[in-house]
Amino acid sequence: MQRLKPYIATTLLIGVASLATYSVQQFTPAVALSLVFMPAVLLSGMLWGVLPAFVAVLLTLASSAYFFYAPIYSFAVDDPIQVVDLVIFCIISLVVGVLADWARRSAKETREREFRMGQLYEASRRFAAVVDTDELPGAIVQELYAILGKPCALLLPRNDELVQVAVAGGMQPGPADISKARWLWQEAPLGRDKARAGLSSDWLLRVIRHGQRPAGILAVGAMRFPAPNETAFVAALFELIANVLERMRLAERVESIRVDRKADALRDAIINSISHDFRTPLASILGSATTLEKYIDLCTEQERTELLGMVRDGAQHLDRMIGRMFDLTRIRAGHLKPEREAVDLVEVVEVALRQTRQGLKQHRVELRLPDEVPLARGDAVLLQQALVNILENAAKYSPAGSVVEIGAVSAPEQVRLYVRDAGRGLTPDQAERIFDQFYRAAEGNGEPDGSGLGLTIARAFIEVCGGHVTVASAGPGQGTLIEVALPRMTAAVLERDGVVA
Amino acid sequence: MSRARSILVIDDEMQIRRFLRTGLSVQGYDVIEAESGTEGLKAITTINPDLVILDLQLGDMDGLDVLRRIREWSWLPILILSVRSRENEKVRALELGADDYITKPFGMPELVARVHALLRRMPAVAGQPIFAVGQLSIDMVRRQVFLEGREVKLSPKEYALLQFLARHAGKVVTHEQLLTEVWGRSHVEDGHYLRIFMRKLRQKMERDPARPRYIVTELGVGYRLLAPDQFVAAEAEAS
Repeated sequence: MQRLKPYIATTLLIGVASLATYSVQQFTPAVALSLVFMPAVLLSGMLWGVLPAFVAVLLTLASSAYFFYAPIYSFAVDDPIQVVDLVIFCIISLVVGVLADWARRSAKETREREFRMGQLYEASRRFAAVVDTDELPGAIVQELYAILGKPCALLLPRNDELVQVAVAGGMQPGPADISKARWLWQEAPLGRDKARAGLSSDWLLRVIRHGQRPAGILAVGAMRFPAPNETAFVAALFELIANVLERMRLAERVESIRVDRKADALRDAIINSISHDFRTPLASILGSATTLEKYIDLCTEQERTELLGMVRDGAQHLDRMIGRMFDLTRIRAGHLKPEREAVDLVEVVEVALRQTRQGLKQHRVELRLPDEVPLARGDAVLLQQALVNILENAAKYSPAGSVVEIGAVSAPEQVRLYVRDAGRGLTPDQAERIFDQFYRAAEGNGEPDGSGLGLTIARAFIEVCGGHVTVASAGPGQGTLIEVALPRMTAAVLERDGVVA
Repeated sequence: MSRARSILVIDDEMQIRRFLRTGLSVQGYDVIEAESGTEGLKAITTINPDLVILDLQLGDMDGLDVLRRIREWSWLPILILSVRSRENEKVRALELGADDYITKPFGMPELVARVHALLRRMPAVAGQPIFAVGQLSIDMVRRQVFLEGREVKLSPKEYALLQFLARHAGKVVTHEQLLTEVWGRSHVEDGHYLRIFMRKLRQKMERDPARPRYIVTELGVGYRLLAPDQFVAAEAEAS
């Protein structure tokens, strides 16, 4: 019906023209028929195209011959001049029809192209406005969804695997589409995606390339796409997206180089610090051992005990440092897989105290652990190692004989463990940096020995358990308070199991 | 003691074997060394030692496999050498039938105490009606617990925990073993039961639960009720 409309309209138009001619002829017979019908043909061609215009010509011929040229009410035409008139009318009308149609088409195309150009420009303007490269994938799919009106998803390589990074339009590619995309991605560097597209269920997949290098895969939720007359536009759009992705890749590379540089600097600091810190206990072990070896007969009983004690202490010191290096490696390699079990902080304190007995020998340890301290959730072993590091730090920076207080308090949804010492305290600036890697080591100021890693490791262990650690000090000489907040083992779990009733 | 007890040390590190040999010989033990799992397995069949010290890190095979192979046919006591931050490995070894573990590096007195506990435990504890350590005594027949001469009232679950620990005194008992024993197989995952009851038990039995004298925590693994000689050593260390 929709397609017949131009023809029906054309017929009506010619009918109106015929009626007009007929009315005019009532007053004057000398009228050039073509002058009346020509506008109708032109109109039909401009509005509806070349075919309706041809129909208009045919209808005009029929109408003229039948109604206006003798013999009337017959399709025959007697007057040769009138035949010539009709022939000329035909030729001119056909040319006019074609021209009108052409004009109509090019006007339409121009409008469309202008609209698409506008969309491309808008899109590139919006992409350029995105400052944070992490937001670019989201911007790409949003923009694409707005332009194409189809759900879109963007898949980018992350650590050697193609993953969906953004989606817009309320639909998600299914697992089958994703694996199809991955397959397409694997083929992409070989240039085997000649068509640059693969059809997978409802999603059309397309490899986006920057130059020859594949940058990612776009999935568009449509069976047939793009429309045949829009390939150029879609190509331009994808080109634009490829450029955006390239910009993103370059930004990420710059960032990773920056991080690598920092890591290198840190590694150098570690190596310097280790080689320095390891030498001290080694020197005391070697010195004591060789003294005993050579002069054992000259030593008094007390001197022997002392030398042996130095060997033991040196070895324990080395063991602690190696332990820390090991912890740091695990943190940096991302190998920490914490348990999420019920943790009784009293047990954590118990084991940590046992491990720091030597270091805290000169201090008065006071415990404030209420009987009803709630269970925390986390990894008991990691928390204990964190606490050991915090306690060693407290012991190191507070004078012999001073109090080190360990306590626990419950808070809504949290349980907090704190260590308070009466040591040298911290300036606000120091408090801010105390958990930084190698803060102490970086100072290089001949402080009590230590690798400067203890609190960094403590923080990493606490955070990996879902907790966090804060430090407070009223200022230099005022002591330090380190507080560890941990998620509680939720009451719901305990009540469900009838443990607290 | 008519014959010196023999201890087989399976470790691929020569230095560790050397110091174990010295330390244990001084204590009057006969020390046999094996530098690989294969050699160790062969030595067990030929010399029939009284106790095995097995390092889980061996050159030729996984220590856990050696343990499994020994446990296929022998119940002789096995002490595992493990390293820090490998709690899962320790638990695994205990589940496979190891009797105890010690974390490298360790001091000789600690090792000797473990060895004593393992060798003495064999005939001794199981059949005794009364278990006593320090000021604590448990009357297994009357199901009564006395601390410093006064009776401690325990709930049935608390008593069950304590009794199981006492039957394995000196040795570490895993969370899983305790949960299975006291609550049953289906509660193996319910670690918080154990934490809460263990805390109640220790609040009744220990003057300072964060510095326990009798039941000590082996974080990530389980608990240990100290055997009398371990108790004495720990008290000496703490003072």
